[in-house]
Amino acid sequence: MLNYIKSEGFRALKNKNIKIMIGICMALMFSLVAILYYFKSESGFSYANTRYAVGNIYTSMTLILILTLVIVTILDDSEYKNHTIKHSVAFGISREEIYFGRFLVMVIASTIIYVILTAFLAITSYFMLNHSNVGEYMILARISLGSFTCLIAGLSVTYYFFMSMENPAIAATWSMVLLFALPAVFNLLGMKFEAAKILSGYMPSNCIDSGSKLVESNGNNMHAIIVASIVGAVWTVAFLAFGMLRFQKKEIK
Amino acid sequence: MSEVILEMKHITKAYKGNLALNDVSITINRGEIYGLVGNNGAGKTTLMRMVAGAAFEDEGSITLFSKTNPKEMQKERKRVGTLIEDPGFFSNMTAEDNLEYFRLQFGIPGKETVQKILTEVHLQDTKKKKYKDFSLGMKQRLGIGLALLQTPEFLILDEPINGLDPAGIIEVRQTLLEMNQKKNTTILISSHILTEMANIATKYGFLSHGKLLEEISADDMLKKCNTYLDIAVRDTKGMCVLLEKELSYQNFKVYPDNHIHLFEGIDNGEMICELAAVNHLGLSGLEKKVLNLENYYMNMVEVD
Repeated sequence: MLNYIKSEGFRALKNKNIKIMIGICMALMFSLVAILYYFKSESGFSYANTRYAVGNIYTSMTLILILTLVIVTILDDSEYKNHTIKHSVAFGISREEIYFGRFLVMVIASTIIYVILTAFLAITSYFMLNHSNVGEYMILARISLGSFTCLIAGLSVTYYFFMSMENPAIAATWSMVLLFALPAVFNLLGMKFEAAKILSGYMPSNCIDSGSKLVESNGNNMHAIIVASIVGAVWTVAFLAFGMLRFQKKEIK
Repeated sequence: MSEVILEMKHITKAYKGNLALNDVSITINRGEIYGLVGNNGAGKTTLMRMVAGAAFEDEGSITLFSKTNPKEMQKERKRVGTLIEDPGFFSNMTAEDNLEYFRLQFGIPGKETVQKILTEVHLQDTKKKKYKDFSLGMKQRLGIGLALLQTPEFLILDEPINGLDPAGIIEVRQTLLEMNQKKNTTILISSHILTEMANIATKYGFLSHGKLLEEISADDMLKKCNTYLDIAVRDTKGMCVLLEKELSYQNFKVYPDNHIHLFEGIDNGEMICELAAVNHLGLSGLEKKVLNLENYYMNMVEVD
């Protein structure tokens, strides 16, 4: 497994698109801070502070969830047309090693990317904006930790579809349906039916969106943290298990 | 007796009801170069993919390095090098990085291995070029390089000379022969270029529409491939009776286009001519021909 992880790590490091994606995200974050900085001296403008800046992350966790889909797409690197997995299988590397090894590298890469991006926003806003001093960095840390498994679930679901389908566009569509459309449908149904309302609470995106208990409580609600963590973990494990079962039977092209 | 490297017994495989392989059995011994001959869709690639663990048989059994259990067989695959269908590399990575990726994955020590392989397949000067910018021949060379990366005991090569220039074909042939002779590497190879196959194979398996028509050693093939008499006759049944009863010949084959290939008594053309005329068999042609791998296969497929 270690050799497989090493090789996947090597590939992730060599992947230019990941670096471009990080660059784009950093540029967007910097422009956000720069705009706030520009209006800092204007009277009545109350957003040029660190709380508002970092709040853009922890109140937009569903956007980060979308980013997991982008990361899987980039790291998958068009396997449907490159057909590289066949070499690993032909060399006798077990399908478990391949499936979990690739996933593990995706989790590590995504975590590093998340840390880099949040650290970048935190540092630039710290040096360029007014300090709110309301524990905003701790809020960011708490909500990030609380959302961690739900974000990993995003990776797991997307990875499942990418590994089991030939067409990446269809795989991405299914991921979007499961991660975003289905929770939205359950939210609507939840206004009418109690069961749907309960079920909607067990969807990763609903556990971490801006209206969730986790975010509304600024990450201070232990129950919300535990629920989000369990929901994310269950989705992650379930899709890893489904994916592994399908991959075991899949004929590799 | 030499060690059996691969044994496939009664392998059957269907895709959506279409038989890709139908009760195929082959045996490859250590040191053999097994040439798999067949037209497009004959089942060559499917067979190779099964050995490589990329496809699964519906029926039958595979034994690789004396192991039949899938988990044990998986471990033995570390001794196998493959190039099946397209070479399969990351298009945005360079040739060097692609090989390095697989070197790390296969746990092969020494970074210099990659450079050695790149030199061996003549890609040293283009190692920094992205795979997507490679020509078909260069891609094929890199694929062969990957198959040689871990110094395999058993090589599985599906159309390895596809897209190679004449010099490249000779190089690949020499490399394979050298590996076979010096390291006793066993090779399973398929190619559409039968003249090239005839240059290296020591055993043949002829596949057509998923069926193995014949498995024959190159020596036996050579014996069969000598001169034969091509008899074109209206009454093939009558001619067969005549050959068997009057001339006591057994070694002949009948083809649907009213042709008989006679592999013995080929100097008795006159006698056959006379007998055919006396018995009103409608003889329209009698010609001495030399059989090579190409027409041997074509004749076989026609009969099939």
